Amino acid sequence: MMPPRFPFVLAAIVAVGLTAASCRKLDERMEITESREVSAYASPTKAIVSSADRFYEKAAKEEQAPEVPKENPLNWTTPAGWSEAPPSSTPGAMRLIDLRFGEKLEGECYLSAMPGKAGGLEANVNRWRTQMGLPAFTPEELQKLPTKKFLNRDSTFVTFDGDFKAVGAPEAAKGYRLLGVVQVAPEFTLFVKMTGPKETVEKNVAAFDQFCQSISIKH
Amino acid sequence: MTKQTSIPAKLFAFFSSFGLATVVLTFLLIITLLGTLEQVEHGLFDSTKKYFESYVVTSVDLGTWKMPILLPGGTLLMQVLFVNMLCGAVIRIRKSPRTVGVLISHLSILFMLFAGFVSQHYKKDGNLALFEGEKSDEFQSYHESVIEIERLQPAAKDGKRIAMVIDGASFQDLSEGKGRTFTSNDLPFDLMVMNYEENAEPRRVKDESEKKWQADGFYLQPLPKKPEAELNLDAAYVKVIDKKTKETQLGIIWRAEAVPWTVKVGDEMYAFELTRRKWKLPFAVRLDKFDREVHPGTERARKFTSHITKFTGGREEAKIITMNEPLRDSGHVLFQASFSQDQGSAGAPVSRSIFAVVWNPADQWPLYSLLAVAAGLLIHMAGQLTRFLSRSKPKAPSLA
Amino acid sequence: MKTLSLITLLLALLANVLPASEAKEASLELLRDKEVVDSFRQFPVQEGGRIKPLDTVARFRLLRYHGKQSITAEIEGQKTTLSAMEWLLVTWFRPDLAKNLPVFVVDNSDAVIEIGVKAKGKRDRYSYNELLEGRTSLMKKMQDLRAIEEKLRTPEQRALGKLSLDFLDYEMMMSHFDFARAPLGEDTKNVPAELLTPPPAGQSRIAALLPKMGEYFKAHPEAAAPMANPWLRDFYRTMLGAMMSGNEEQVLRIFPPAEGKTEVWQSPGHVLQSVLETGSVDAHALSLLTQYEALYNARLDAPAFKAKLKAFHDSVLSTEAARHDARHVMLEVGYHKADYFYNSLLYFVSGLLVLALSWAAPTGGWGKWSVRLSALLLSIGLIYATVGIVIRCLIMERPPITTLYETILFITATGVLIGLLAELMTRKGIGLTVAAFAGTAGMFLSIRFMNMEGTDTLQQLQAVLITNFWLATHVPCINLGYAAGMVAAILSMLYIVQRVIGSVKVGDARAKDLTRIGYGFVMAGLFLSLVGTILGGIWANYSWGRFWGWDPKENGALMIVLMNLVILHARLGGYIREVGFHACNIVLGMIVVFSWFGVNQLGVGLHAYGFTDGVWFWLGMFWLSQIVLLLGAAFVSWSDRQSKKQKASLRGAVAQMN
Repeated sequence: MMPPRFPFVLAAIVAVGLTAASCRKLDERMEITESREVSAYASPTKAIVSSADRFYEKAAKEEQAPEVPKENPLNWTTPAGWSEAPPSSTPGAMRLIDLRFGEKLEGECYLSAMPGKAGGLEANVNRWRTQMGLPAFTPEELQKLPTKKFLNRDSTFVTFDGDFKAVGAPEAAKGYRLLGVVQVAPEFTLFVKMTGPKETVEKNVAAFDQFCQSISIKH
Repeated sequence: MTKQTSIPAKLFAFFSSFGLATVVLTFLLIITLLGTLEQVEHGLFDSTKKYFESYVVTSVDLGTWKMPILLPGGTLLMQVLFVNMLCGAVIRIRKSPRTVGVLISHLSILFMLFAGFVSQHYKKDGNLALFEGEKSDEFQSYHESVIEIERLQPAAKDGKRIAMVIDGASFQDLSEGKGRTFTSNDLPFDLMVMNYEENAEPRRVKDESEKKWQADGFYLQPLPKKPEAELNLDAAYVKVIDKKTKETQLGIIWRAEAVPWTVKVGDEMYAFELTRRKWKLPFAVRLDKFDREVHPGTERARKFTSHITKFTGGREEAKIITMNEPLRDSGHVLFQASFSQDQGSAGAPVSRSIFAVVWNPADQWPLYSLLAVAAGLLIHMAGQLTRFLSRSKPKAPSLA
Repeated sequence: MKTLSLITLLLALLANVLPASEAKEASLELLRDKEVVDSFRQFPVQEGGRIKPLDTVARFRLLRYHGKQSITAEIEGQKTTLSAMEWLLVTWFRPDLAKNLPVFVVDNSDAVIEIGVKAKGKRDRYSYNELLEGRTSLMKKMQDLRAIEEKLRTPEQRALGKLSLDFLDYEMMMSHFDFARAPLGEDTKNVPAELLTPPPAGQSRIAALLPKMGEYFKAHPEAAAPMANPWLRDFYRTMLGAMMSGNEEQVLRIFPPAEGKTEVWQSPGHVLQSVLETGSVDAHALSLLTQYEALYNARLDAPAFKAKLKAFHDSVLSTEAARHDARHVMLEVGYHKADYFYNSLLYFVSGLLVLALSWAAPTGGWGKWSVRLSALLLSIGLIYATVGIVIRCLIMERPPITTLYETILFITATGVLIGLLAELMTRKGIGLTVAAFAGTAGMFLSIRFMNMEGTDTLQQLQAVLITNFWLATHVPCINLGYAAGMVAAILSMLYIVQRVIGSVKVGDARAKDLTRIGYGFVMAGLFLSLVGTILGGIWANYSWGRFWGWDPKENGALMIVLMNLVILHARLGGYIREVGFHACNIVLGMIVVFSWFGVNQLGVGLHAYGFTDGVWFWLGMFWLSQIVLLLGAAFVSWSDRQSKKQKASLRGAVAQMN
């Protein structure tokens, strides 16, 4: 059979390999030696940008949109067991439809609109993720999000679980779920956002779909 | 085997033995199995590094089953195998018509291992993503992180933009509490890189009294590492130390940031960016149009096609890159890898085509090696089959 | 499942109100008339991105719901077996009968108990009506399941999810012709009067209705909210029935587009949908829908029905004649009818049985003739399998292997072929045994696998794989490598079993033959899997720019190469002899099965083309059986050593005596 010296020799080789791998020293100072020419096609770098913008915080201010139209341009059906929020309960927010649900009406579901692209899909989805205390999505992850038909266009659909911190709220509410639909269109961007304690939201998933489906634009 | 006496002869006998071949191949088999199973949880990138690009493997980590172990890693095994084949199947082998096939096939596998070595050390591969209408002449690495420093103001007189590059290997070991200072005579400051995180996210400091490091109201929150290496967003704190005034400025660089961190040192403005390593192509490419075909009535892709224009010096050429039909030019190859759809500035959806770009000196070597290995094995097997058939021709039943 | 799933779900939530139609329906004789059934079988349908016969759609729907491609039940007082196509016609034209057919197979009665339905056997079949009382609860379960990620569901949850989807699909199938029966529902008191005006005598109701609906919605956009509007809800339901599935990829696309416009066919339901989405209807599609409606309306008059059927079929074929996408439909109908793989299994099994008879009396005329008969039966089985594989290539116009299912067919056929070839060269009965075992096990596996997947086995490929050159080189090479490895493993299984039962002794002629032939297959397996693996790398380098990426399937192929190399080098070095060699081959077989099926189940990597429930169980059983064989080998090796010692001591004793 196999000569017995194999394992020992192999172990010796392994040991030599180990020492070789671990003997790189940590220099405290190091000279930069490498450089490259930046492509002529690369976009110029913007100087002096606040960290809030560098890390996408600014785009998080969709709710403070101006100008509330006088007449509601939408038709919809309020799901059974849901009710409309009193008009004063959400000052300043441009909510075209604002509904409450759940036993104590703790759940919130509203449709808001922003003129134009409103920072695009990425900024808006990641804003929601921030509100739920979740890390931002990469473009690849965004690409993978499912879509739903909403007002006859494919719209991105998201579900996030986390601790929800509403704009202006002192602290995050634990164990929340967020369902959202975002439709980025050239004229305006539409958001349907549903938040509430996870259980309450779970019970109302079908109602949410039904609500989304019932929305249509008045002609 | 005859008894060998001298040490070199013993060593040679050892390195050329069938026993060594069997042991090394068996270990390769075992680490291949483990490295495959571990991918389920730890992802391809990490498993590859741990099992196949290493000298030793020190633990097995399959789901709930974790245990320390000492196994040789893929790099070590392939090096030993290389030596073993060279000694056993090339030098020591009895050279006769019977062994021609064996010799050829071993030589070609040696060549293939060599090609793998060349690829691993010299190959550049990355990707290039272009929107329709966009033009570029560089591609970026999939995994390699670097820090780039560029002087923005005053701009160079000839209009050329130069970025200084710090290789990832010299700052990726700086886990929490570690730092290193990078210097250059061309820069009016020293740059200290600290607390490198493989996956992190900048967050606003809410409570000012918190003793977190903060830069412009933000701190870095480390996040758990994801198995898909390309989904991790690395980040670090950087400190710029003015060489004259010793004044310092602290900043955060993060791979997903919208804009690089910029700093004024004296009268000059610098940008700092944690980014993927970029390489220049010897030509520029503009994406003119991207087509995605699906099997009718389904979402299953049938074909992705990019219509591009290639610019070499002053010359323009229209080209098509599609699945299985890459563009090859001056050692670089552009492959259709995938695509994405995004909202363009005008609001209408704009397609973005993603190309894999490779420069590899050993590009075609495996093909040559394959032809040789197939020839070698065929010669060998043909010989064996003839001998086997001539032996098992009907004859008197052999007695056991 | 994108666009439609929402509507499907909404409808699912509403109580079921399938019309208890008073209308007269077609007679069972007409629906089972050979001419009618054959004509429907040949209808071209676009599904899964290709044109196939309606027969294929019917077969795989029934297979998915029922676990078999035909259904036997008591219908109108008589025990009747319906073919898949007949069953589909019964669901379309006789929903009253279809509701009582035991269509849904439930593997574990816990699933039906959970939705409040009285369970029958542990594994049993239920009719639509039997499950109906659990409908509300089933739909609620389906909603709950939606919250759980597909990968994280338990097998029970997956089974329940499948049952609820099948149930809804079946509801849609039964209301397929509702657009001709009552497009706006049975209860028309809320329907606007202008939509109810009957068409001029002798003209199509649907052709009159759809343009009117378009006008109506232009005038009353607020009415276009299906949930607030009961008759529109009924119209939605009609529309889904006419589509026949809530899954966009499985709707029944039987209307070819007008010449040159697009490749996408439409279902009858899409024509209804276009009114809601665009307010207008394409004239070409509407004319096909009108003919389809006329077909239904002729159901009570057999000759008229046949005439309408032919007229509709002809206009479909003439519309698609320019593109000629339906050119292989007849071939595919024939392919299913001939049932090549089931027939080949029958021949392989009988070949195995006859061969087994020869073992009872190996010498003498009887043994000789049964060996010859067995070789003949196995050859016929091989011909069946080969013809089946070739026809699949012709239908899809591509090389033989593109899915896991096709690897089973190919490896089985080549396994049998090389077994027979080895027999031809050696004439020792060993090749024949291998061929018989490989054929029987492989074809059994292929049928089992198809039933487990329950989807059409002829599938369109993802973009990167559409390249005949590599599909015709790398893929067959790798699979031949698997086949050689499996054959070597079967030989070694034979060796170990025969050693354990004592019919073969160490070093006797049969043992030497098994070893020598096994060695040949290890060599061939090395060549094929090495060349195949490197070819795969070259393909990857050619198409993606990476030669090797440590992807699970690549690693699986590499492991086979490595095991082959280990066996050869260990043998050359003298570390393994006969028993060791065969034990190593058993390990080789285990590795082949791992990289053939196992890595696909890991759910990672480029080649992860499908996770199938229940595969791990069968893999586990196989590996377990092989471990038992390895223990057998260990026992044999131990007893060999014992007997050697005994012989040595005996010799010693004899020497002492002398």
